[in-house]
Amino acid sequence: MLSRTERVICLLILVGAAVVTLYPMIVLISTGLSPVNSNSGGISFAHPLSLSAFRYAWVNGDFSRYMLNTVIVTVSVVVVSAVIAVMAGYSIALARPPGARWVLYAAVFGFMLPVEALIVPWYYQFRTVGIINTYWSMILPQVAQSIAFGTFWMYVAFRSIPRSLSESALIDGASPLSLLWRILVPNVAPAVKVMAALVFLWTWNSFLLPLVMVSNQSLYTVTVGLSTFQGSHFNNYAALAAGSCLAALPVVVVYLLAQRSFISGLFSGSLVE
Amino acid sequence: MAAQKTAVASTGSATAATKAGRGGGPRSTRPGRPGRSGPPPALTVAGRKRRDWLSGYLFLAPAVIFIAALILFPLVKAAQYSMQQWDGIGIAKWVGFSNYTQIVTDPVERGSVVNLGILLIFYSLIPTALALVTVNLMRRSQQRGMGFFRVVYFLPQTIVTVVVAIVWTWIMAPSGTGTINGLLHTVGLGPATGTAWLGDFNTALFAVGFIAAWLDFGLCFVLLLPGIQRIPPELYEAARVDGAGLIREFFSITVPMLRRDIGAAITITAVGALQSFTLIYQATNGGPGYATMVPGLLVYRDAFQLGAVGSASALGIAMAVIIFAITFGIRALIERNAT
Repeated sequence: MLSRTERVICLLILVGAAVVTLYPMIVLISTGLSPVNSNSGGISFAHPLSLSAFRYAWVNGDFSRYMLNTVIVTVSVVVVSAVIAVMAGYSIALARPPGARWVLYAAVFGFMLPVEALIVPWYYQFRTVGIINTYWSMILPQVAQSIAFGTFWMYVAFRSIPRSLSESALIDGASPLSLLWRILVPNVAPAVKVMAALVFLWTWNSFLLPLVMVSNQSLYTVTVGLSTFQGSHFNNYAALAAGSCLAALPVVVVYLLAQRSFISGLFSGSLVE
Repeated sequence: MAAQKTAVASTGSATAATKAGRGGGPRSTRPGRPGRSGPPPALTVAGRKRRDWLSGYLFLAPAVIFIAALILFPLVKAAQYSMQQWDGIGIAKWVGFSNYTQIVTDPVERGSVVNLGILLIFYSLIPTALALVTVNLMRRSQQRGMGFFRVVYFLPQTIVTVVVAIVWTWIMAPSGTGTINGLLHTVGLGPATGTAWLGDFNTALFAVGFIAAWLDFGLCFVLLLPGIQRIPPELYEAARVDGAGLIREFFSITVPMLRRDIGAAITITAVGALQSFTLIYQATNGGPGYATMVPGLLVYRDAFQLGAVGSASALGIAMAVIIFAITFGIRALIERNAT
């Protein structure tokens, strides 16, 4: 087996990498907990603990509004895209009407397209329809992209269910709708959860889309709000760190709660395999 | 991972079968379902098939509408814009492929593509290599607490990108407590005020690259870990009997056995690198000068600040093409080496 020194070196490398990984987060939390108006010098470790910066960001910095907007957009995108993707995935994997495969190809293709390739036409499409500066302009494109991902994702999940099961249920007289939601979906619940978690992460984190679509500050999501806040408060490190913590917290919490499935989800998310 | 999934699937279908069996009999007694009591009229096989297809199309319809209206149609529009010179308001002028040739001829656009190429190394190759070495170390030393390290290393991926950019601009500031320069100064390796890592023409791109590597290391680690656990230990034992050292074992067992996983890690991180807009917009906004300019940032700047919709669209389409090229290129490479 390995020598003791080799083992220790190994552990040191792993711990070192963990320290480098965690350091920026420690910086944020520590600085965010410093008193709001005392810190214009940068990163702060030695200071009295105070929640004043969080209060300042939440109330004066409008983060309460930004968080609400982000929740509205993210929850809408997750729920709508999940329902539609589940139906589409079922149809392609089990109902298999002629031509359904083409939808699968289109979905995979659409999922691979970067936002940068579509943001320009989205903007002018929405300007024509008159929904720039509304929640719709942030929700609809992300629903479409999440459906593209989710359709492929749910197709893979439903493919693992034997087709005889869904057919026998239909022969027994179940309506396709109750077959799907009462019998099939409970069987693929883990896949649905991972899909929802990934779409949640992507939507919460999205930046370019809300930046382009919304100029009315009361509609800012937390990413755009934080970016703007940084512009106006670049010297108020405590408030900026507190705002950053607020913006980051929900996704980190979801990740820590669901980390096992979250990580395994990445594999099937990779279309190369 | 695959094994885990099949297990879920097989137990799942068993419960589904019992549920379906139960649902078959007393269905008509369920309240609140008018017009659905009793078994449906007997259908011929062909008739049933047609009915199932109909419901299949209905289930598919919303997805088709969204994908067509908000992905395929906009893509066609983008292709159309990319052939035009248009400021977003006035009349568009047809200019053929000149917006595409401009990507190569215009120094700023060409520079952004070169920067992207350099950043790809930091986003993709460096974290993959580091993760590969780390998982190999873990396997060799049979380290405990694998789960802990996995959760920690992956954390950066879950932090909102704007936040990542903000905190790293602090850490890379020229001076101050807790900055890289401050830490170097404390241990006697530098002056109190050192390089502005993100503001200096010589270092800015590499500083952004460092942040990218920090971001993607955990992702690569998580992607490679299950693969190395799948490699049978006998292979390594046999190598040791043959006198293979750490390096030899790494290159003749770990790397070839993880070929597919490495390909997946490189592809996912490379595709992520193309979408580096948020990090760079927030950390440097392409500066100083154009030192950290990337195509994604130019799309935004051209379309929404300079009114050059055509060249923005051409860059966007070019980015999509690069993503497809990387994905299928790496895939082809791996498949060819596999045979």
